[in-house]
Amino acid sequence: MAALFRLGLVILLIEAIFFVLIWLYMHSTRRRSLEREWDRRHPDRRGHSAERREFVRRAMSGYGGRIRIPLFLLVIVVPFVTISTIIIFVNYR
Amino acid sequence: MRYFMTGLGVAFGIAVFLFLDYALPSKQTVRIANTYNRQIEIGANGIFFAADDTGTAQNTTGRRDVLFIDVVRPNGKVRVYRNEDTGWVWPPYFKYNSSTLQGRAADLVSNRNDPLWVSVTSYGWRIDWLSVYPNAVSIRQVDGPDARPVNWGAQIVLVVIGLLLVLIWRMWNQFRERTIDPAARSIDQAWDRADARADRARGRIGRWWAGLTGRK
Repeated sequence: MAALFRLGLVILLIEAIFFVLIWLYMHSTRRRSLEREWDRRHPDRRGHSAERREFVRRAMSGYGGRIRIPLFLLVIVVPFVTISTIIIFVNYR
Repeated sequence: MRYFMTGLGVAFGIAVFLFLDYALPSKQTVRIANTYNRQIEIGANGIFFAADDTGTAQNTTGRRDVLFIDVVRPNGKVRVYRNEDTGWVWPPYFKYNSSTLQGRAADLVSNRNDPLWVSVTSYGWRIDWLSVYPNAVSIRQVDGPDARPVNWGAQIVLVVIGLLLVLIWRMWNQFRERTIDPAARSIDQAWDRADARADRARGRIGRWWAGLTGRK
């Protein structure tokens, strides 16, 4: 039983790390695509500026909340499905 | 320095290869000769055996009861597998049907006059002088000694590892582009500004000195 808890702990740790990494990655790519969108809409005002920063800030509000649940499910479901598949194939084939 | 880094990289590559070679499953087509269990001493080679908590009895002096399967390869060479449950954490095979597997192996025993060929999926190394045995994970009957079933497990794991590496590489690129490069640029710009200030200061001091000494 203790070994099962250890497994759960290890998986939880790894998935937490992946959650944070993917969270940062998705935010970063979204910001970059928003900046590109601004540059596309205002070709005369492209580049770093306070207006572009404000545009990105407003567009990003709520993004974290929208992706939090799907990301959470992803990092929970993937190891569960993988481990179940391995167990079935190794033990019950 | 360059040779050192190259050497380090090569050593890392070898370590990764050895690690994968040990942990990934491999299939062999063999004929099972014997199945039995035996008490063995687990000493320094303990790292190649299952962890203590997988349910096999072990007494205080480190002797453990382990199930074994002797096989004969098509070229006549003998190989010995152990048949142990894996721990819950590593390697991630989650195998706990070693007794069932032993029963199935016993059912498939044959002698050389009337051979029954099976495909054994296993992981690990056979190192004679350390008494290290690969762990048999599953056994399936095949048609003949030339049957070579595809090793799906290893291929899927390698593809997944490849995808993970691509993901990490893209994440690193993104991080570098958004965080490190702008920071490096701003450091460069700050350095340039400091340099310009030093030049101006030198110019002012030069003019003051020239005024003092009468030169214009």
